[in-house]
Amino acid sequence: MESTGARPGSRGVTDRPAASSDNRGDTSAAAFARYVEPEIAVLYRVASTLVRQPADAQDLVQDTLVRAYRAIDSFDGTHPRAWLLTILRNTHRNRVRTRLPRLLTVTEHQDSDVLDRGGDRRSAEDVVVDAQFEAVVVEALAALPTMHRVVVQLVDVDGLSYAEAAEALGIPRGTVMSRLHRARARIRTRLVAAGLVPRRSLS
Amino acid sequence: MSLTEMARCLRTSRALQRYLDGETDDLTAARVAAHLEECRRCGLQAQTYRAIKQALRGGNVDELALRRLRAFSGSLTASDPNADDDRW
Repeated sequence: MESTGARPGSRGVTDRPAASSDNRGDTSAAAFARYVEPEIAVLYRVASTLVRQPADAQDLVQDTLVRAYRAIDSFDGTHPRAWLLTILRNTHRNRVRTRLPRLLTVTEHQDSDVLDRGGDRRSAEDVVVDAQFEAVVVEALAALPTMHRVVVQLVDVDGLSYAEAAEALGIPRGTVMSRLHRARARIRTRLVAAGLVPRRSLS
Repeated sequence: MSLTEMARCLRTSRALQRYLDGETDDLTAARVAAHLEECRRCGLQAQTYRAIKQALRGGNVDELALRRLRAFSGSLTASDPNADDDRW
């Protein structure tokens, strides 16, 4: 007498190891949309600071996006901007190494873009004084040593935090601060020389 | 100017840039703000640095370039990640 176990053959036998890997592409795309896409404008601004030709800046961001996309699965979700800035910096470095050696050179036309902002609801006098002020600031900025100028651009023009600027340049935050400090003091000195800084209380 | 006042000016000028950039802790920010109210010299200096920041802020962003980059980004997520090499 044997007891035949008589099991129905098609029964689930073992616990299945969790999810299939089919949705990987999906999650990557979702993570990319969540972490990377909101930062594209910042990346482009920073890229425009690092390379002066708009076409190069676009290329740099595209390369950065491709690399970010490839690495998105291993990104832990914290500080996406810092993560992206690091990728941008490395991408930039590699590109500079392999391509044109004109890293961080001054071009006047880009700086003058900063001036192209209309003053709408102000008196003509204000507009002129502001324009003079801006002109001197822009001039002073262009005259700064490159490493100082870039820090000012990243923080003031591109709106990065110190930590983010440090990330973008691969330098310590303290260095960002000291360069910024010195750079702004120089800009101010120029303004004083041009007679555009109020020496006495205005109010 | 008393020594205490000078010390305050010095401390303020050390923290001023960070203060203007919103990079100080709250206590420091409050201290700097209070001093800038009281001390005309430091107040004016702060005003100048603020104006410098403002003059530089938000240079024009090329909207067209941004749109292109967004489209490019969209094409990345829409496609096979391994096929990216040929896309551009």
